Amino acid sequence: MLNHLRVEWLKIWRRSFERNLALVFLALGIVLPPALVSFSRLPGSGDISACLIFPDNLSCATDVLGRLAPLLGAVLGASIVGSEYSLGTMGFSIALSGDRTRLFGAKVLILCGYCFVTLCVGLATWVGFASLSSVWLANAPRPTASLVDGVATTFALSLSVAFNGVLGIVGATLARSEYGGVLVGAAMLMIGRVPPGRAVGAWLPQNHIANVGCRLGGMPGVPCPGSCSAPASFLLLAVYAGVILAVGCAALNRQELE
Amino acid sequence: MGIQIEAAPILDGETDAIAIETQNLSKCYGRTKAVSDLQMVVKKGAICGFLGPNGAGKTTTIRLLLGLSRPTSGRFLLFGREATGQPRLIASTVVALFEDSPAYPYLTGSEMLHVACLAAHQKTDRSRLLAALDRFGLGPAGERRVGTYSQGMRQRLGLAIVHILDRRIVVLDEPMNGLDPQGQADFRRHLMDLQGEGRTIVFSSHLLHDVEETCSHLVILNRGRLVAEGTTGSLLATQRQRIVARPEPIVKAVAMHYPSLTMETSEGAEVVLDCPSSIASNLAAALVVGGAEILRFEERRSSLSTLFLELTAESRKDADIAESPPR
Repeated sequence: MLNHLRVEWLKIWRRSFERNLALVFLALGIVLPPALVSFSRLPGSGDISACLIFPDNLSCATDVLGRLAPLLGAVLGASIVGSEYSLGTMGFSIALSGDRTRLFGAKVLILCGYCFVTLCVGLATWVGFASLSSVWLANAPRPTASLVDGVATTFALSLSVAFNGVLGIVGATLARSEYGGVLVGAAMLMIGRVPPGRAVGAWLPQNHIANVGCRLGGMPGVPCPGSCSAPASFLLLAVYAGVILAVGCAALNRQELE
Repeated sequence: MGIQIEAAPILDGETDAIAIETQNLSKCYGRTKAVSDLQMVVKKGAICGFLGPNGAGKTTTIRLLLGLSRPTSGRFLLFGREATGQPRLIASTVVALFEDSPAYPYLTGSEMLHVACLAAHQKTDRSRLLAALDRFGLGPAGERRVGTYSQGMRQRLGLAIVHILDRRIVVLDEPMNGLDPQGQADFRRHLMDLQGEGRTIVFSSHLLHDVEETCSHLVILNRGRLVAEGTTGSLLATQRQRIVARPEPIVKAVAMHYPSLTMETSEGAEVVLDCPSSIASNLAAALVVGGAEILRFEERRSSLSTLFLELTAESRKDADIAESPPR
């Protein structure tokens, strides 16, 4: 397995798409905090202090990045598998290793690891630059959130990105193309917009991801989207992920390749 | 670049003289039989030419042998061991090079070799990787991205991968397409080198002259079925016979009943008949009964292209019918 992980790491690190995606997170972390400070100086602008004062800025960063990161996770997952099909290298990889399950597992693990590290670097950059930018705030308020809240929302965001990345990988495996993975990931994000409380909403993975973050810490004063406890939501997510991965792995094992 | 840790799998029963054996191997796509009851034997250490017209089932058979596709029925053995549905055994025994050598364009040549070794669970070190690149003329381009390589360079990189992986069976699917004459000559030399290392090579190509020059054995497929198998020498030698007989009128009268032969008239009213081995003895008997005198009866070594065209004539007729416009 270690060999497969090393191969996948080398491939993901050498591909310009994946590298540039990491740079996008870095750029957001660097550019947005000073932009918010500039915005706050405009007449009639809202209070953005929560996005700049540590540790409130961590929750704020996860909120802002959370709007983009899950989709990027799906695109990344779709790209990791879909590029193998479009380059015609999937058969080559399988013929060399002879173990499709490990190959699939290595791709999933590398994707999750890469998403987590990239996200953490992006958030750390944001927090660092936001804290520096807060010096220029006219009246710096006291922080209202705790570090635990920030870590909890970071964890929930990592779960969300990894979950969508897995959907991207499985979608691309089933469709043998990047587009399949992106479509599946995007579709799940659209479905995730279903308001919680409705019967279907209670089973949606996105709501349970948000519930995990909320129960562990979350944004103060914001109600949690589900009635489950954090471990129950986490367990359900693990079952979802297990089923989705099993489908993807079975599909790869059954595929006839060029 | 690091050093690989995991050891390459070791096969038992390595004394087996047969490298590949297929037993009633079949592959169907819906109602289409791509490979039908294939019974084929490739001996250890041979360079086996794997021939057939387009759609004969060569690539399908190669995919089956690589474990990329599952047979509908039948099985195959590698060095006497059951390999059907055994992808790890296949991967530890067989390495393949395809016509359009697949590669990751964003990796450099040396990284590509490193990735291949890692994926194949094979120990290596940087000096060995560089030596392999040098051997195939890619030393100066080893740190360049594969995406910038020409077709010939990519094929040589594929050969370097085949060379560095210690697999005992090498499958090459039309590997010389896109190579210039020098590249083809180099390729033939490398093929001999691989055989010299004790490897068994299955070599699919439409370049029959190269196959004839390099292959010790031949397997010819047509419409998914095996139509000829054996050593190159025996297949080419026994395929046709030449009968020299006289007088001309009697010989011509007898020969009229055998449409599959060719006839030449030489000096002294002698007639040279060139016929398939399968009818030679009947023809000779008919000539004698008819009153002709047989002067010589000899085996004629036909070219591989003649043999190939004869054996695959049926499928070409069908293809012509299929391609003819409807009236």
